[in-house]
Amino acid sequence: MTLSQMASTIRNHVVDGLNGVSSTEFSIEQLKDEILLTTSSTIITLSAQGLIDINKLSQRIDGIRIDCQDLSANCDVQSELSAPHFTIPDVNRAAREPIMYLGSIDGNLTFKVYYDRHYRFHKYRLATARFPFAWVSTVANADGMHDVFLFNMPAYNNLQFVSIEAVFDDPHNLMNTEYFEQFSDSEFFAPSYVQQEVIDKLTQKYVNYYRQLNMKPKPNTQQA
Amino acid sequence: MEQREIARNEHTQNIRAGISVLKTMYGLSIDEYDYLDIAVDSLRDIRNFGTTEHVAYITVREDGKIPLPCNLDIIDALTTEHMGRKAYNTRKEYDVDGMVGTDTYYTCWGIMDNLGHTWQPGLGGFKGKGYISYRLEGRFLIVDKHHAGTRVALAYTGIIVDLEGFPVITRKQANALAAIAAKTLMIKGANKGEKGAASMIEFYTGLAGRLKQAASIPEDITDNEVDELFNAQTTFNRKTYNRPTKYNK
Repeated sequence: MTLSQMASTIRNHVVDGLNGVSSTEFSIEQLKDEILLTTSSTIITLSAQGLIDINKLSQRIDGIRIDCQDLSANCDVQSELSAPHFTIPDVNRAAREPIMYLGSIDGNLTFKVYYDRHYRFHKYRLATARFPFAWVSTVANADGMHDVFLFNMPAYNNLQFVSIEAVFDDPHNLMNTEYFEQFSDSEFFAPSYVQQEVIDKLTQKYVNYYRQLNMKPKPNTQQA
Repeated sequence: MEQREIARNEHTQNIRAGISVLKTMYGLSIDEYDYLDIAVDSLRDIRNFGTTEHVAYITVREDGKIPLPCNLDIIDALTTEHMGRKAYNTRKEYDVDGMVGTDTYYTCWGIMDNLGHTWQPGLGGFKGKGYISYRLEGRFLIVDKHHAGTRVALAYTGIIVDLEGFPVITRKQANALAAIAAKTLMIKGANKGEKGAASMIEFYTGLAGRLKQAASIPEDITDNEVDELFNAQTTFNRKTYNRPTKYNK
């Protein structure tokens, strides 16, 4: 199902469920936002229950262009250290390994990924100290994207594009990135059983909320 | 013992073979870099590296130093380039000059250091026309300074390594590394509170220990090798009743 189809399904369920109780109008746009929020939380819940493996819900972006940027996120303070850099939407840090693959598009070069400042100890690794690695910033930058810096790249200075496969926190956010063209709006990112769960959850929530509001019934205007 | 392994062609797998075994046998995935660190650490205990005969044509530095190849096991001989090309032309050539100073070179040395590998002088230091006298100093051979700028031939037995400097491993080593990686994953999982991980630690610890032992033994042992194993190098003194068991009284 597409996101729009899911929103319509929920709307129809709710309208039918509340028929005769309430005539409240729904904003489809708000429903879409709620679907995205609910999907993330549903995936986490199902994963915690052991019903789905969150690590399998990864998405791939190919051809991310690398630029060079100062490590400091503060415009007023420079770190004097620039590194190859690109940005990604936030990854789902509840997954065991949020980024399964980060490397060249052909798969020949991979980066060790650090999600915290532990990258400082990479140089003490037993066998891979001289291998390239990446650090994913923990906070979003001004554009709402997360900075990724690449290190140990002297042998790969000509690397211009990278590929990434990750479990994103809000996979639909990929639509808002410059890599948008790769993603079609035809199918929602979550598998059908998660879609079903989200539709049920939201329908139930809306019906319960509006019933609890105890709104006045519509006047019966039917003519005998 | 190590030299004979290559004759059986046992060391055929890339060090990363354990990652695919881990997936096939146990359905687990591991970070590639974490696996490599675990593998090098474990191979240090397992040993049983594959070796082959190499020759390297290396330029002598101004101070008479010759950088050693990073996969060095035993030095067989150091000769002039002319003699080397004639006497050792059937050996696998290793490009040391092209590697020295590169990341690959230092990575390879780092891996060898962490494997706990120390190289041996072997039978080098022959006298005679064509042979060059040397002494070992760290990662260099030192020769007379009048050789500076010339190329010499280093015939040596080297550990078989891949392009990144990792040793090539056997099927049994790949299986052992996979079990060790699985054990590590279970311990990490248990620490993070993953369901069922703690209960599997014991199983994988036992399995890893057993496979690790098995991996340090070749696939089959010939009668000659068994004979070598039993051929204890003991002095006459130790075997005789009522005689001192030490050289000094």
